[in-house]
Amino acid sequence: MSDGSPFLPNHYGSSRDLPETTVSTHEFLEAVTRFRPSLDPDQGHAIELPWNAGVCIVAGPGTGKTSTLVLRILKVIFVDGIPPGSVMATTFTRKAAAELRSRVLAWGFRLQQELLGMPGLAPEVHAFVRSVDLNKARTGTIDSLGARMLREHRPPSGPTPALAAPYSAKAIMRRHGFFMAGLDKDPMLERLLLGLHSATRDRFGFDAHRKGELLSELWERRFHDVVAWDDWVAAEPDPHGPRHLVDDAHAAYLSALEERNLVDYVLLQARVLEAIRDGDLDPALAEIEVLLVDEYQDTNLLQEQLYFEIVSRCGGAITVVGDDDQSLYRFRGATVDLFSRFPERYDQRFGRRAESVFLTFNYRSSAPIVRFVNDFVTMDADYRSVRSMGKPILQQTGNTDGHPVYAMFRANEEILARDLANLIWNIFRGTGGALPAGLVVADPDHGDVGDCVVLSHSPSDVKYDRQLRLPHLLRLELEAKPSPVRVFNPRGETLGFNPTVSVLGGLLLYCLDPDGSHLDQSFLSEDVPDVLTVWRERAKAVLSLPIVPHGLSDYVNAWRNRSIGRPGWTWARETPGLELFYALVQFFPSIVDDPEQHLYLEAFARQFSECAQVTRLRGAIITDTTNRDLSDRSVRALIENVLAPIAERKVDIDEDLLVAYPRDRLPIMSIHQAKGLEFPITIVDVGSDILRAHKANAFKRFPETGETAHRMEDLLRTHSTLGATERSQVNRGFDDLYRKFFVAFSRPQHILILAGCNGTRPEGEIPHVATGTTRYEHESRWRDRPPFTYI
Amino acid sequence: MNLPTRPTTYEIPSYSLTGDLLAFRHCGLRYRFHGIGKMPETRPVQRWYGVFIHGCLDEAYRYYKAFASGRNERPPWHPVVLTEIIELVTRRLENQDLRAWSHAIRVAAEARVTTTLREAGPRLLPMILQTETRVTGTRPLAEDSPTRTFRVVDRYEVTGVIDAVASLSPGSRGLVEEAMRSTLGLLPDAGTTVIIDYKGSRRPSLAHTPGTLARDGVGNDDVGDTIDDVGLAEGQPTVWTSPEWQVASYADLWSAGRPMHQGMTGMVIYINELHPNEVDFLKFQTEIRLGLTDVPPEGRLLAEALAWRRGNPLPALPLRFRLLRAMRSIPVTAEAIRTAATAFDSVVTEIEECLSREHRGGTMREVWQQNPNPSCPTCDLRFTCSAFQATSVGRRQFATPRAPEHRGREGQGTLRHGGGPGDPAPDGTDARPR
Repeated sequence: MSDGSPFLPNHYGSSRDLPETTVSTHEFLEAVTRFRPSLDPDQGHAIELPWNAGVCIVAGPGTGKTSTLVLRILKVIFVDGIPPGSVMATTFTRKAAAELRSRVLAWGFRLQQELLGMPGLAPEVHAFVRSVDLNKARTGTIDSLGARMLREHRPPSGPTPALAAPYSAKAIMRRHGFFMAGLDKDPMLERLLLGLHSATRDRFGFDAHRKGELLSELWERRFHDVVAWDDWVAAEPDPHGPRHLVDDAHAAYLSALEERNLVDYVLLQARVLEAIRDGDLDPALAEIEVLLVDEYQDTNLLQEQLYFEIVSRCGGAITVVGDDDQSLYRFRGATVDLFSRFPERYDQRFGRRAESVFLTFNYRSSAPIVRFVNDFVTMDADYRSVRSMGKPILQQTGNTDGHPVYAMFRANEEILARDLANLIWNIFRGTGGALPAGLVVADPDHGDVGDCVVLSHSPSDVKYDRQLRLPHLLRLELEAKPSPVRVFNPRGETLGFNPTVSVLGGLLLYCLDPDGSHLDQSFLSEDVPDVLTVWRERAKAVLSLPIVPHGLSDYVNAWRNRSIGRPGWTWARETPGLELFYALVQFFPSIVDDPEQHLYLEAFARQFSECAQVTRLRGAIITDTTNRDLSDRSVRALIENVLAPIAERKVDIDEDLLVAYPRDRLPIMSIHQAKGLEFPITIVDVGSDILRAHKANAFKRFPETGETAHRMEDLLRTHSTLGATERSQVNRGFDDLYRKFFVAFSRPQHILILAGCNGTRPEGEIPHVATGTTRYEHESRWRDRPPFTYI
Repeated sequence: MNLPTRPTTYEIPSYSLTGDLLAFRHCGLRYRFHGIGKMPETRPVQRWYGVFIHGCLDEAYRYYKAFASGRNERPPWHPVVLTEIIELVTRRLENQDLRAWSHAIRVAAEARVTTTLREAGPRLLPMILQTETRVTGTRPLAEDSPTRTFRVVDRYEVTGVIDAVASLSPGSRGLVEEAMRSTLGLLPDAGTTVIIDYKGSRRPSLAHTPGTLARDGVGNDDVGDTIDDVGLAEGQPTVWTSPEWQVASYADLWSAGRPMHQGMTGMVIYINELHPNEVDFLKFQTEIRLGLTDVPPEGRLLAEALAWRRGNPLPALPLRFRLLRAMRSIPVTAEAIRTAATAFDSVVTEIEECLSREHRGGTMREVWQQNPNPSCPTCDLRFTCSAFQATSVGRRQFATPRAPEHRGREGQGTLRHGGGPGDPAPDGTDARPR
């Protein structure tokens, strides 16, 4: 160390040989302030803590969480002298990992440049700074980094299983774990699954697909919670009881995966953990000195064990960053307690307490919004009790006289959509949106409707009964304006209703199954045959238009009549289904030319690939007149695994394919999607579709029962070191709802608008946590003094 | 109040040398469709061949390492071991839904791997220090263009995977070492570190060198001979120049931050040359006649090569000659590295421009350049690709997709499905995903 950092590793774990010459903390901080604002005291503290300590950074929204993490990584490299290749940083999604890497490299190079240009830097320090190769820093998701370690350090002839896509994994569970294991008719299993599906044992939506999904969720939760599985199964005395049946289903699923040499995500993580414990990854781990984990509030027990196992090799040098108030992924196995109790858990494992740092200065939102968010997150005493111990409120740094928080409540969704559309249109296409605190006008040079977002519990365009929801109504209103505004809501759009999807899907179906006979024999969810029939009719309508793409009719007719064949011609015995799909696409050059349409094409292509993973016929169309059964099976496999998942909304488009959200469209997204994003204007739909206090909508406003994830926790955690929770399912439901709206309310920079129907106003009759009703009071705290201005 | 705008995203995009940069140069539209768009190819002929060859050579090295730790026998291995390696890799690729497009391609690939491991393996494998080494680096991009408005990009990250890093020890003896020294122009007792890139193709002809007719192929021209040279711009990489860019860049990235105790150079090994087939040999003959090969046979070998006629057994080429044909030196000089880096900067700039144009509403075929090349006849976009349709091959094919039927009985007659070429032999595309 050149100046002797004040944080020498005396009482901390690893005692590696540090380079003798590095940058001093003072030089580091001076160089940083040359290209970004000064650090606030909390950020400075978080960055300067010793590299080999256990550190827990609790970072509220807009407090510079990622910046602090990145600067801590750079401090570890430049001040503490840890080689970049020995620094591993992980986060939750691929997109977040790409952003993290971009920031580490960009700031790292800038820092390097500033340090090298710093007058008076000792020659040996100069040489050290020059020698740092930031590219070697290891960043990624824990899955990608784990898979890479397994791949690179596998023994000769060692297995290299492919990763099963989530839908493929579910399809294999349904097919092999449920049907082929003969469990679909078992009343005992059905009873257990129904109890998980619905607290009131309501059978709505409880079809075979749902049962398969529940078996998959149990499988994942079993790994996420590191359940002592044999003990859990053995706790059921009846050897034919439901736990044994779940075990049978899982065994059949595992066997089907192994037969295909596939692993799913939880198996991958479990294998990495096993390989670490067996010492197989020692060469890889020997290089790692520090681990930093972002979004730790959404970690699970399996991941915690993985992280702790990795850092046990480097003396416990781990920094975790997150915010318990923003934990949204319980349904995927996240256990927020692992974050809020990190210091104690770290102590239990490493024999010393982790340092906690709270980042509290909010740099994103205006002061009125920060006040509102603080008020919201602290109003429920019971929720306060589950937050990280000693967590302070957010401090305002933004404009103190900004717009107040607004609320727009209307009699119904149609009126709400109309008024919201008018406001949005006026701001971005008109002369300005008139709000009580003044006229709001988009930036004349670069402003566009992409500066605004609509967040909703679900961005879905339609309800289960196909009634239109706010996202769709808003789309219609905006598109009907004189200078139309288009909406960007690919997740909410029902793929099956999309014109491109329905025509291409219909043509595929018409080629494969012209008379619908295969459709009748395929295993499909209840509504799917109707949707597919509509598709085929739409395709037929396209073929009967006065102008049809040249050659399309001949092509489709040839496929329809392939079993009859033409005299003197032989049909190919095996054609990749994807080839038929691409051929159909090319009859429509406008689809090929439109980048947005490619998102739909990719959804089809993905299903073909998954079909190849799941079925023995690998997504091929077999035309074999000597083996009709095989030919028929190949068609049914495509209907069940390619067309049906799209028709029944099980397939989402992959937004990661978008390089950027289109600026000229209004984004509508779920609150989960908005995590980590910020927008100048944020409209939060708190209940546009809640017209009365019905138990069916209670889960999204004022829970009366727990959700499937809560029931699963209670079912399995008796046999996990996590232990059974004392908190009731309903209370956990409330906690989750507070977290969700906290995330939504903390996205805006300048203007926050709550939107809903009148019943959900604070003085309305429908209790709703987002409008001030806490769990033990059935009347809103904001009834007399709402913290927002009505518009 | 004037509403502030959302800040533009800052991003350092990551580009793979082969999967992105060379693929884009190969054909922009195809790269957009299969690369960025993640649409799988229906007939990944080249991909299977490349991944298979590389997979087998990597697996063989792991076997060799296991010998070093006493868990396996020393090479040369019994044929059963070679079969075991081949079957293991085949199964692994099948799990990724990668299969040989035809039995002939599979047999050819297996024969080439077997010959390589049997004849060159015992000397080559012990020289290898590491395989499948991931390298990465970051380069500044020239001034951010005002047209790139959707994200700020002032640097890009480039990634790649080195097939093998080998150490040629001073004084080591053996046919492979000697061929290597001869290829690299080293003195008999010299040693060096060699960055190796395997190519599942034959040695390209001199027709692909800069300044000559640039018939880009990503391959051995099995189908490419009939492709017009429409759309090939000056400076387009050819099968001759792209390995130079690739290996020089890999060497540069690999050496970053490493103390180099001896020199370092690059080498491409063209695997097909170790086990040429009839098609390879016919081309070899043509190249000899036209003076278009840089490693011609001499004396008796030359006479035998020219005298050979299709249908007869291939002349037995000595291993030393085949090794010299297979090995190509890629000098790793400051100039070569600079040339490669400049070329890649220019490709990244072009890709970023294309993305920006697309983001501003450009259509796919307007924005992404289409380059006719030998793999066009099997391309999934061949019916909407105006550049291919304008070539002589494209003009001879159907303009719209045709049903997959052919005249006559199974296995006979002419294919009618869209004018596809049936079973194109594997060529030199190294289009492995990175």
